[in-house]
Amino acid sequence: MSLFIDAFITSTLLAAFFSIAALGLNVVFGVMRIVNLAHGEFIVMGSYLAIALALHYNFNPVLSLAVIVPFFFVVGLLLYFPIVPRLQKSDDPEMGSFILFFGVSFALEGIAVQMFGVNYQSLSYSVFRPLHVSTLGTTIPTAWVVTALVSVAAIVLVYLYMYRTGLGLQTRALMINREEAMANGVSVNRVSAIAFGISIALAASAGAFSSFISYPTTPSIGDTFTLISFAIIIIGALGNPFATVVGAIVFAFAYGYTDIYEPNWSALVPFVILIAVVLARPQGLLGRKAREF
Amino acid sequence: MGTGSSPPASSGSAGRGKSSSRNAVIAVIIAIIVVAAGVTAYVLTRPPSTSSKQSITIGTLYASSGSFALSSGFQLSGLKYWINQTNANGGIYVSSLGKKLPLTLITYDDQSSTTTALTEYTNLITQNHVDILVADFGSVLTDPAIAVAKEHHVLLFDPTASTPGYFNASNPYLVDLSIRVSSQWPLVLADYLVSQKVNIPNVAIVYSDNAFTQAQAQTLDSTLVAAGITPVYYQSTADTSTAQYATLLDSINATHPDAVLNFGYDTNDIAFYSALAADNMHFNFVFTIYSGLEYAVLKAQTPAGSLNYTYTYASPPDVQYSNVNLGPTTSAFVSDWTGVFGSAPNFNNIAGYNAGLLIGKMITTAGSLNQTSLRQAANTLSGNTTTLEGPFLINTTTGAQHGMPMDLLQYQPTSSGLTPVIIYPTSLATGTAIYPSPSVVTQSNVLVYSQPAVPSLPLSAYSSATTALFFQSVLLYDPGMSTPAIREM
Amino acid sequence: MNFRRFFLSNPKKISTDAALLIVPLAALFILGPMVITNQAIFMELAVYIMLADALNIVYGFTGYLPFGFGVFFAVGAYGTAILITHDAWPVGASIIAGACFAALLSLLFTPMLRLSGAYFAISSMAAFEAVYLIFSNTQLTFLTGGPYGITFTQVYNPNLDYMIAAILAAVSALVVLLISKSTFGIALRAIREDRFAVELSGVSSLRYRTYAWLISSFVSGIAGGLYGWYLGFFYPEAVFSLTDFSVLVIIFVLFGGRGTVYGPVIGTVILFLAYQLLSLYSANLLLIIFGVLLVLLVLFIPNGIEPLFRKIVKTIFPPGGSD
Repeated sequence: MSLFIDAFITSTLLAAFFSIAALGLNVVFGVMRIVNLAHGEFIVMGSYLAIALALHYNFNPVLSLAVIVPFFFVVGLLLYFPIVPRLQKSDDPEMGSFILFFGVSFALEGIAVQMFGVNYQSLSYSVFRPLHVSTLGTTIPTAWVVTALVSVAAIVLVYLYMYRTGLGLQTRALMINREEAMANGVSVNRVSAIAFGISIALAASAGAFSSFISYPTTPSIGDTFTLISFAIIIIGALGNPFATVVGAIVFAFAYGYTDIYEPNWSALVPFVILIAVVLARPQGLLGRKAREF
Repeated sequence: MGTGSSPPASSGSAGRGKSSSRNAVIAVIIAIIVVAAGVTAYVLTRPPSTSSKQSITIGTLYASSGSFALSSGFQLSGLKYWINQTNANGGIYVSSLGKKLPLTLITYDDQSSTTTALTEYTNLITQNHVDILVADFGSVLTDPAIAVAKEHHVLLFDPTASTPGYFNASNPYLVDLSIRVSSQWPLVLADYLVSQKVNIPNVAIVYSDNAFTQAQAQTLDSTLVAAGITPVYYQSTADTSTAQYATLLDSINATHPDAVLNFGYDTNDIAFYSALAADNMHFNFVFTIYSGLEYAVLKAQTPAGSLNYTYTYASPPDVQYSNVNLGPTTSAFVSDWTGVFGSAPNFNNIAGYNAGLLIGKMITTAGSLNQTSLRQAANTLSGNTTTLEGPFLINTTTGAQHGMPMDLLQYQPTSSGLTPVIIYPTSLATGTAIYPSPSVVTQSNVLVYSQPAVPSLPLSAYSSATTALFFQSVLLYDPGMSTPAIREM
Repeated sequence: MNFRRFFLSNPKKISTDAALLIVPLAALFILGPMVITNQAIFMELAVYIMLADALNIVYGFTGYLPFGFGVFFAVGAYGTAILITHDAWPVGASIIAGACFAALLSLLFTPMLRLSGAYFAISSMAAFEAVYLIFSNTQLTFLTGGPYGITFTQVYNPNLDYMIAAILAAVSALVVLLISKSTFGIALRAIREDRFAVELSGVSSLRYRTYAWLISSFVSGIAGGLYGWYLGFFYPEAVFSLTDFSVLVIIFVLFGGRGTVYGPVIGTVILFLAYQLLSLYSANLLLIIFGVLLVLLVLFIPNGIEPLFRKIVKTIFPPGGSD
């Protein structure tokens, strides 16, 4: 029984972490219809920045968000303007973006290797006090609870932005129908650039906590994050940022519970769910229509 | 698309002639590009003119990125250290050439990709015509070289690939220099556990899915079962993340083991210890592979106190061989290395260096660079050579390494930090095991200069606990936290 | 259905195009290893040309990008290895059977062809990952060797393998040529331009895409079998490599010019050799250089170098008269 509860708690926390890790990817797809295969590399970059800040300035990861979020927001903007508008003028932006951002991920991994080397790096649980929290008969590190709370806070903030601001309204308009939104005077470039910046900032924020709950940070771990993020947003619904949370819950729980009973096959389960979801309901669990014929 | 510019079908013979001559031009251009690319490639890859042998070329691969980058870098720096040392002494005397030749190292970066490794190994053999071919770190990156080396009748010197399946009598072009074949690693460990049957009756074994760790888990499992100890948990896993290991540990804990043995690579071990700390779990006996092989990495990347009382394989530099007849003693090497690099070598550094030592000795013994003679030299040296890594003992038909034993040690906290204490075999023991391992307050050594320990609070005790906890955590960050980055050693 | 027309809409033009594909390829594969004696480079080149042609059939002609396309390559390699190890089949039969496995797998995946753009690309990536996790699973060690790899060095014959691969690389280029000239190819391209119009005119675009998908997976499977044979022993990661056997191939095709006959071949030859040289001589910058190259490629020459190539040819030899 306690095994069941342990897995429940771990999966819940993991779901929260994966939500923030994948959320930005979905925002970009929803707004721009482009697929950012370099998403995981931004998580890695965020992680490196958080580790550097902790090492040199003793910032804990929550505090380091004050640097990470604006920094990566600007990185997002700087990346957006030379690339995305041009990409969207091509005949098939969706497919083009796959390849283009794979290139970006290549380059970022190369840069990370040059800058940070190939060592494993991670933050210590001891940045947070008390070290552990006990609940329902299990003990979990405070760092995980903080990670989950930051994720929830980030999701709430994105929600507030989307549903309580003018720009958010325009963003949603773009997501629902690009042509109509443009016809109605939505400034595509401004809205998209901000959405892109938010997406990169979200990824980097997830990165600040990734070494606690998932993997130690290395330049090559980005692909894994990208793949997991993709699985999650597809299971949820492409283009609907809040369905990401549902995707993350399904993913984390499927993983967590198969890990108890069949650890050999646990890695396979999320992908099988993904394929099953895509075939039965390609729009995702919470999405609009996606199948063509 | 296709020949999209194809004009409306022309029927006249003149038209056809024109079209074919135009096509001829295209053909010529393609040919020019191909030849140009070929020539460029040739110029770039052309072997140096070898009128008379000026040096012994040693070719190897390393990974600057990807999953093997860290270990691969360790091995290469060990090999490089040996090459520099040898060159400082004027090189190696080759009797068939009647002179001392310096060593030249040719390396390519395979970035942990086996596809890239395949062409690069081939390049070392067919383009650079290296005299000595040394494999990259580990089984996965050695694998692409095995068939190619055999095909070209080049002896592959294998420092750290220990998969038993590689070694068979039909391949005389492979010799394992610096690592015991992995199926034999846990022999000492198994003996110990059998001897402690009464104290440690319940054993849990978890291993990650790859040849290196599976071979060990299997050997251990079968040895224990034969001795009447059936592991209470025996499971392989593909997990690598901390959260996944936490779940796995919950499953293991449910079987109430006395000993938990985790066979994995460094990433697995880091996740394993992080998860142990995360779950605040404690077992009386914890064993991992990489806490010994890459102690500094594990120490830096696992929660403080994780390695206290942990058991691991005892290999150099922890096991010190002083009775050597080739190269420096372990302790001499460690102090030399520390003098140069500022930190002690790890096992893979030593493995790279040891491979070099043995290669040098084989060249001297063979008296030539003939690959078959080199292989024979390995057989000659086997059984009567001891280096800083221990006795060199190979299966003379397959090339598998049976020497260089992996003993058992425990990291015991002392006033000067963690001390590796060799537990078993008793002939080598430098101390006795502390069993059951005391329940370490994993945070003890960070709390020293911080606020008084805040006891772990049950979450249910908080009414709106989460927010309170959140702010408390945010405010009380620990200034003593450190993430030392291990730069290349 | 008129099969002759289905396969060949303009049989006369084909022979010169065929010669233009085969002669340079033959020269490359025969002379190349004499100049650069590293046979492995040319072996991989042949394998990549096959893969590029296979991808071109799906991605180039129909516009569908299967991001996890490398799965057929890997299954081809495994099918071959398994039949040789367990059933002692002759190599040739094993490779063909391995390719049939790949084609069967592609049939299993046909429901995915109903998905649109990004869904298709990502779900094929998930399929890749799922198949990889199955083949590398410990519990299937008895069959696939699991994570411990599979050995079949008993039939190792790199020279013969290379010869066959070189010939089949040329054949795969011819297959693309045939398709491009056939009614089938025209239908595929029509699907890329406007699926809805094709459906409206009463042609099942799904059926055509399925054919393309089958051919493509079969060719990839052959390439996988030949590559596996060349290795003699491989770990799952050696053939299930998304970067090596999906992404690189996509890059080659895109660089050459998707949907063209010469593009994939030209793109593969130039970029693969460049990639090899870079990885031999400045590997630390390889990721960055290739990454930036990709970004520039998509932004500035989305149609690849084939049109550019064509233009150069035209400038040197301006078309006149009836031609």
